[in-house]
Amino acid sequence: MTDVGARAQPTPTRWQAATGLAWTQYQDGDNWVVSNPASASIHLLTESAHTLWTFIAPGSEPLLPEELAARLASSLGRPLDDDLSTATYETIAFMDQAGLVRPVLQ
Amino acid sequence: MTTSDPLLGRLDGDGVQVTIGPFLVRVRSELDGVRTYLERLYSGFPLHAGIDGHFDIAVVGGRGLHRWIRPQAAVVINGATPFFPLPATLAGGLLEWGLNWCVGRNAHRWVVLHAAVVERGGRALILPAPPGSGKSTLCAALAYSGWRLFSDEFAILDPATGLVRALPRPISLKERSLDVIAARHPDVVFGPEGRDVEGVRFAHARPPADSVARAQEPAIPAWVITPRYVPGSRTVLTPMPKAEALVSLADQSFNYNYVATGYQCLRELIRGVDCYSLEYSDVDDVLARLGQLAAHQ
Repeated sequence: MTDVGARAQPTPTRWQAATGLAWTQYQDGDNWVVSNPASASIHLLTESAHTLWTFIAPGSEPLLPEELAARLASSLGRPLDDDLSTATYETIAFMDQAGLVRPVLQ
Repeated sequence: MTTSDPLLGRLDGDGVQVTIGPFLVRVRSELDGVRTYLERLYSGFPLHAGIDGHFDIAVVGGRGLHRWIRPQAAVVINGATPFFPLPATLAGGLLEWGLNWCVGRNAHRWVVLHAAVVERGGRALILPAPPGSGKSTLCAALAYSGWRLFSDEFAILDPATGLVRALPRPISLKERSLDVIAARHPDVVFGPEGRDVEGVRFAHARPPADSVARAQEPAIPAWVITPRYVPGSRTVLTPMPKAEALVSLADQSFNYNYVATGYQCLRELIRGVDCYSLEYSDVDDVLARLGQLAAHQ
């Protein structure tokens, strides 16, 4: 789902989107560019990665990785399988490293 | 500036101000090589007698034994010495590298990209690319073939207007590019040839007079094309998704994150231009292809 991603495992951590990000999508493609002013970095992400982020966007409830994977499967209209779960966890791990999401302390 | 401009006599004193695109640069030097370099490559640039400027660049001679044995030159920029001294024969190059250092680090009124820029019909072609991609060769070939030179090194974007500012200066060419451009354009005036600290043969070429005369005319960004010289390849111009182009442009920016609206400036620039990647090896072929592109807009 992203070009970077260490092997990730589901954790009991709930995730919430970081604030202050600027997302951009152009009409000629599906990918998104996100700018994170806090880290002065920008990243190229897939449509699915952006969709995951919107599930926990500011104002939404924090979600567990399993919940994110299930919602993504539903939005894509496909069954939740190991591949999609793994891709989801890897994407969350990447977005965590990039400062696009943050864990919510219980 | 003319070859006999008396203002150059101020170089070893208070210095001279040179208007280079949007910048007023104060240049000082006691070295004959700098004066000769300015006479040869900065012909036509506005010259003034003041002592202020956006940047203060002094190219000074070596001290101690280096006055006489293996003479050296060093560049002092706004009081700082960012580079090690180099052989005095590279004094002209030091001036250029010093100005590059200034623009790349200090021009935060604008969004500055590492890119060559040329213009035709009021529309700017931006060529962002890392060193070694053939960017300067392509830029020089375009600039000496009817396109207006904005810069072989920097795209200067005005975040207030979205326009590209021109910064025409001597074009830095290396190794085989020198021979290619000299063979294609025997009338082009070159500065002294030297070898940089990595042993790479280089020289600077005088910018076209029309580009210097029109340095205060900005242009509307029209194309972002990422070039890559691939020996033996045919010319391939491939549309690039805008999202990828934005990331590529940001990668080549010195300061978008220091400028309050820098990211928005890049984002909107990409929205308004056509984006391509380009592979080329044949200069005539790529010039024709880019000419067609400009003609069909």
